[in-house]
Parts: sequence; C-alpha cells; structure tokens
Amino acid sequence: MVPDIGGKSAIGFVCRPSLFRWGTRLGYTVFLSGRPKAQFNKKVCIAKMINETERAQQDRQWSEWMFQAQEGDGAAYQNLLMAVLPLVRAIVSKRIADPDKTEDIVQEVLMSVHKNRHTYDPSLPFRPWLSTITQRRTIDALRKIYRQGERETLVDEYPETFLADETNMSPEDDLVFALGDDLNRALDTLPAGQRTAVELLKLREMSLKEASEASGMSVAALKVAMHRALKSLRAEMVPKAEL
Amino acid sequence: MNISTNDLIASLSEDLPPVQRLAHPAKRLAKWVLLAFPVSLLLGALVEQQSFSLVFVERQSFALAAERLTETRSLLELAAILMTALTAGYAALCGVQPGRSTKAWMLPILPFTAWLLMIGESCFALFQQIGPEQFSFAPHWTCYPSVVATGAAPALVMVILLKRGMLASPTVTVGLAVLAASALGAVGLRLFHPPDATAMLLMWQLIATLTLYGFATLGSAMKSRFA
Repeated sequence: MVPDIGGKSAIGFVCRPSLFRWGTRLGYTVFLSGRPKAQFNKKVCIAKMINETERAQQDRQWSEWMFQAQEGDGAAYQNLLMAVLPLVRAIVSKRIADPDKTEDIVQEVLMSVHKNRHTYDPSLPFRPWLSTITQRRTIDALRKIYRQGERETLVDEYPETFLADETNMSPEDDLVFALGDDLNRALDTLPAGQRTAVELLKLREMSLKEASEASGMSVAALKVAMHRALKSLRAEMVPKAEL
Repeated sequence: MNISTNDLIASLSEDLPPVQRLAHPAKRLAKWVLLAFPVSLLLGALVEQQSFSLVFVERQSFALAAERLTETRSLLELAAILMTALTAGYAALCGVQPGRSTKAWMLPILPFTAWLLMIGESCFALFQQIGPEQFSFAPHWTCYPSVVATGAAPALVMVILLKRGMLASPTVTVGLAVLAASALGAVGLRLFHPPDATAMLLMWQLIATLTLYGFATLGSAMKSRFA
C-alpha cells in the first residue's frame, strides 16, 4: 500500500512534474516510512517513465503544430494554443493569485507567443520556449502590478466622479431605479383617488393641506386613500423587490 | 481584457500568415561579422588616415596594421579580442531566441578575461615606463573619432539583429551585445590606431550603454506613470 499524504498517494504526489525532481533529489525515500525501498523505487520509476514518455510525446506534438503554424496553418496553431493553455495558466498562477489578472496575463502571453512565433526553432523542444515567454510576460505583469500598487490607495467608498446623480448611484440605488417601471405600473392599477393621493403627497411632496386644496379631497379622505394606496403598492412591489 | 481567451485564440489563428524563422545564432553571427567587420575596418582605417596623418606622418595606418599582424603579442591580443567578439555575439544572439540554453552566456568569460589581462599588462608596462606622474586614465579626445568609426557598424548591425528576436533577458543580452560590439570595434582600433585605446573603447561603450539604459528606464517609468 502506498502511503497517503493529505489525500494523495505518495506516487501521485511525487510524480507531479514540479515535485518529482524534488522527490528524486531526496532519493524517493522521503515518504517511505518503513516500507521496502526497492518496491517503492520500482513504482516511482515506472510512474516516472510513463510521465516522461507522455511529456515527450506532448512536446513532439506541440513542436509539430508550431512548425505547421510557422508555415501558416491556422488550425494547427489553434490546436497548439488550446493545448498549451493549462501549462501557461499554471505558470502564471504560480506567481499571481488573482484569477482575473491571471487570465489577462495568459492572454498577454498568447499575444506574445503570436508576435514571437518566428523565434521558435523546430529543432529544439517547444516547452522551454513557451516557458521562457510565459515567465517573461508574468514578470513584466508583476512589475506593472507592483508599480500600480505603489500609487493606489484602497478606499471603502468610491469618491464622486461627476456631479450628476446618475454617476454616483450605489448598486442599491440601481435596484430602486430598476424598480421604477414596476412602480409606475403598480400606480396605474390603483383607483383614481388613491393614485391622486400618492402623486400629490409622495411624488410632489405636498403637505396634506396643500394636497387637499389641490385635489378638492378632505384631509381625512387623503389620509385614508394614502394608507390604502401604500398597502396595495406594498403588496404589488415587495415580492418583486425580493426577487 | 474584454475578449475571452478562446475568442482571442480563434482570432489569432484566423488567416495566419507564414513567418520567416529566425536563423540559428551561428548563422546570424556570421552575418553580423560579414556585414559589420569590413565596415568597421574600413572606417577605422579611413579615420586614422585623416586624423593621425599629421601627427604620425611616418606611419600610415595600413603599415601599422601590417606591423601589428606580425607581432606575436599583438596577434595574441587580437585573437583574444576577436574571440571575445565572437563568443559574446553568439551569446547575445542566443539571448533573443527563447528556449535556447543560457549556458552560452558563459562563453565570453575566458577570452574576455584574457583580453582584460592583456590590457592590464599593457597599462602596467606603460606605468613602469613613464612613471606615476605622467600616467593618467583621462580620455584622449583624439582617439574619439576612431572609437566611433570602428564601434558604430558592429553596434548598429547587432541592434538590428537583436530586434528580430525577443529580448527574454534584456539586461544580460544587452550587456553581451555591448561587449561583442566593443570587441569587434576594438579589433579595427587595435590594428589601425597607434596608441592602445581598447580600454577607452570599452569605457565609451559602457558609458553610452549606461546612458541609454538610464534614459530607457526613465522613459519606461514615465510611461507607466502617465499611462
């Protein structure tokens, strides 16, 4: 039985490309804990051979695609770029944790690969060529991030950008704004007296006395109409707002 | 970026034009030597004829070159300088092709050390000959036209060749390219220029590189600040 390390088998753990070299440097015995050394070494060696064979095959395939891409074969180039994406993402995300920025840098790497595809020599392995470009672009991006970070200050609230109200609305305001149409529709469903009460008292912000004079309704009638209107509007609007 | 990675790949693969592959560094090195070296020698000889014919009336440039080509010490020095130029040039050209081994960067160490040792030995001999009062490291402006004439073509052609590739390690590559251009220029200078001004050529190239590097860094910082 292979020893478990954090839910992963030792062989699986050791055979990951970046950690495999580390494992071999320690003589494969680091995870043994009392197991016969020869048996463990055999498994690791087989795993290593499979890993290296797959890697070599993949490298040859990538070289072939790149060779064809240099000749102008768009399909081979698309296959190549799709195939190398996981490797590029892995190299970039090793240094940059933010997934949004990682994807931006991955795209910059792809553009750099495109711009410098003439520098690839088909007689050489493809992986070191790609890794060099990826690392270079990642370091450039890191420099840019650090430079920007030096001049940026994190704030809790965004400062006003323009005087107009529309530019300074919070997401909650946007929700209210979006519900404006629903409010209009709900107002249309109200009886005429209730609608008049809402328009005068809430939308035009009149006092009860002013509204009474403007509408010809008594103050008491306005109060009742307003109360009923709000009850109807709440019943109409609240379920939609909660969605 | 607003475009998705898959869309970007699709757009990059669409109507893909064929590209001319970057040649092997050895081939590009040969191109550099064939283009820059004759121009460097020719310009060096012409400038020497113009500037020093009044001072060294009895010594014409080509006679001086012929004499230096027969001396063992001069030949050894020329060989060290030429090897420095070739190895540093090769290493610099490897530096603009990603994926090539960086072991090539070590190639100029031996010939450059030999060259520096010979410059040091010449300085020491001169120091012993003329004494500490006369000895100085001040730049001789009369040597400046020769330094420019012999160093310009190797530097210019090297820049053109480097621009065809990708600067994966800019500092090392530019440093090696400067060394290569200085060394190739120094061959012409050593052949046609009566005093030994190779140390001055190295110094000028270094100052020019550092100045350009400073401007480039400043420009880059300004660009990122106002971008």
